[in-house]
Amino acid sequence: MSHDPNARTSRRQLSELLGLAPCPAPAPHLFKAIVDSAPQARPAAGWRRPRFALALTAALLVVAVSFHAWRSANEDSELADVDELAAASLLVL
Amino acid sequence: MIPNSWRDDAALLKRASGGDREASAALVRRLMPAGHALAWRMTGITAVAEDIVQEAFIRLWQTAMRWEPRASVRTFFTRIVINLCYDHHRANFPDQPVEDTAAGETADDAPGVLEEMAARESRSEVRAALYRIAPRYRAVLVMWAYSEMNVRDIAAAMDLSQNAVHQLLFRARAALRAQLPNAQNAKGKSHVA
Repeated sequence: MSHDPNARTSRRQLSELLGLAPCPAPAPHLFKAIVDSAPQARPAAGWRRPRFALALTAALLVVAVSFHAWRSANEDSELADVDELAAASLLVL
Repeated sequence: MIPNSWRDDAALLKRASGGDREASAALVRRLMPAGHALAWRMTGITAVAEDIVQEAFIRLWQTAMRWEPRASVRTFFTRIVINLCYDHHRANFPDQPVEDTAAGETADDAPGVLEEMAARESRSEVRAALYRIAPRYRAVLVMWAYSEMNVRDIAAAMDLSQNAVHQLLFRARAALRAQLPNAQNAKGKSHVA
């Protein structure tokens, strides 16, 4: 704000002389358009989303169970081989 | 000391840059009326004024992430609006410079002379004269006459010293006076004489 009284008078006179025609209000859609153009909140990275983390955990569980099952099956067959070998050696003896 | 409004605007801009829609809306509510009025008074065309304000906000959002509070957001925004008004003028009137350096150099702009002359004209004549002067002069007159900005704010918005703003105001008033029909008639008479 200007505190000079002459400057204030001059400003008021000037604004009156230039015509105090009211400025037309901006169109109603302008406000929304401008707000929509503002930066948007960035979504969290995929691996940080809860749904993604749940799916990843489930997939890891499935892999772990499958691996365990496969390994168990292999161990059984190895034991069976050992049993057959033992039986054969007994027959030879 | 930084005024509260500076801090408020800067805080809103920072939140807006992070995607806070409420902060964006609040900042638009604070800045849009003055920016739109300035653009409208500079161009005289509602649609152009709206385009300018929208573009000014897009530029403001672009700088929001790296905003450093060396000036107020409002001043910075006003500067964007003025520059866009100059761009519009350059695009539409390429042969007319933004600042007419010759005008007003020799005019005698004693206090009250412009007011006396303008008082004899109709308001529409004065407004028409305002659109005939160079955009830089129009900008400083519009900011001085219509907005609540003081010389320091205008200087910051126009990237000038305060002394330069006083000189620009002086020349702008002289240029406006020269464009008033009374002045044109007086000039015509003096040429005839």
